[in-house]
Amino acid sequence: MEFFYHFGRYIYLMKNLFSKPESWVMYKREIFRQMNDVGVGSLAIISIISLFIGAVTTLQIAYQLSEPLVPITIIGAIVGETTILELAPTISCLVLAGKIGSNMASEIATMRVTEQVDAMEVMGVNVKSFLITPKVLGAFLMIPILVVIAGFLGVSGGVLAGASTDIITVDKFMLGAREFFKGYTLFIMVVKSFTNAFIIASISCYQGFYVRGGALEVGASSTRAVVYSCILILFADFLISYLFL
Amino acid sequence: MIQLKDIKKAFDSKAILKGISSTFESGNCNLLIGQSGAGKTVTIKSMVGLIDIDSGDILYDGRNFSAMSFSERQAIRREIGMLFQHSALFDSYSVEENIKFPLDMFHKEMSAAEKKDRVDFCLEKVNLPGVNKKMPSELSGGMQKRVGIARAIVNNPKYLFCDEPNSGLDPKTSIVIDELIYSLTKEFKTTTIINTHDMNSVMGIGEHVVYLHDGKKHWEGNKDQVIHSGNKALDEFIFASKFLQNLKKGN
Repeated sequence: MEFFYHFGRYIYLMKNLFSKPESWVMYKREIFRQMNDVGVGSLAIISIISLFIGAVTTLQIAYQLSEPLVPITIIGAIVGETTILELAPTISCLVLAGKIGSNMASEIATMRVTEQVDAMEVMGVNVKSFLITPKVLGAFLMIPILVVIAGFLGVSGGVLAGASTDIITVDKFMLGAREFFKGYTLFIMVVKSFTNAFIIASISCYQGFYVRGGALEVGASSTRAVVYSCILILFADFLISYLFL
Repeated sequence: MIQLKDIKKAFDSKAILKGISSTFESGNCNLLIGQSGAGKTVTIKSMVGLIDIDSGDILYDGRNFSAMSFSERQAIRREIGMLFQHSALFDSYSVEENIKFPLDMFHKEMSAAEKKDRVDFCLEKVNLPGVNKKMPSELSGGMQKRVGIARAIVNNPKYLFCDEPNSGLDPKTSIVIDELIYSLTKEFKTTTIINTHDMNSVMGIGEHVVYLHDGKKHWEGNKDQVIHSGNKALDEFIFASKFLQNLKKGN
């Protein structure tokens, strides 16, 4: 029963994404702030993680497929496909759920417990829309870009690791990656990134918005935002892979 | 003028407001007093629509707020200014952006220069000129309260609500805040409702005092009548401090 209660309240909250803003200027300012927080603020961590995951994937695939009958170019093919289909859109978004999801939830929750949300409400602001729409839009616009960057850097990390350890040359890696590349996988990556962006922002906002209490509840809401976002990202990952592949 | 007509509110079958009625005139400082848990905060939050009442009516100059739709309430709320207990300033915005927030949201017709002038005017009114660019975290508690008041009056509100305006402030700063609220009430003819348990405020600016006890209105009067009310619960509340007990005994 509790699931249906939360699901209904979540849908009711998300309905406000379609409300007409009171002031486009204020919304625009908030959207840019969110885009900066989500995009620029997460670029470094996403870059580092993608490079290393690409590199480690190359080393592990080389270790597992070190058979004389298996062509070495297969490493490039597997790293390329895995990065585009799974590592960039899913692993990056799991990291983003931890970084920006907890940030969004705790920001709204803190505003709630310090009466800042009440202050906006008394002024006549549609707080559900003003606090949530810019965050969802900011994530929706920036997370797919971060995922594309993660994909590029993941493959680059694989190339660098392969070349620097003499496992595979750059040419052979790229030959394998190009040979098995399907443009359709890029489409799947984009679908996953938009889905995950919406999951992270909407779940985190929901967890933050209905907080009551103090510091303890703010922390708990932040944790719930990350945990539920991660579970839903993995569930969506499975569903999209099942439906589209 | 704001009228409360038999408002009731319960949380999980526990009655918090048990039928409160009163009238708050415009241009007056109306004080809601009572012990912690008496229902003051629930009353004031019900009046601004942050809590939905179970029954009764809340009338803003005859307009029944409690029976209004969401959009109708939003219109009334733009005539309301509110100072919160802990100021509730938006901590990611500067002082100027905080005060300007309602103008940016609802006054598209105003130019940036007009808004800046209005912010400066409000900061002058609360005796805080020149702090426009500071962040709320850089201000003392008293200064934050004054910025909260400036934000509450920036929209030229007809109704001004103050929830525990003196909490966490020293007695001297409390008097400054009280005098500020009083002078703004007189200057802008607002219907001001202050929720407090500070007896200094009652004796200083209590033009109309409503004493709440256990979710009910126990007494109503003004600051001159409050000491000699003859109401046992009110006397216990007023003379709870040793200082006033000694004063009463003539020591």
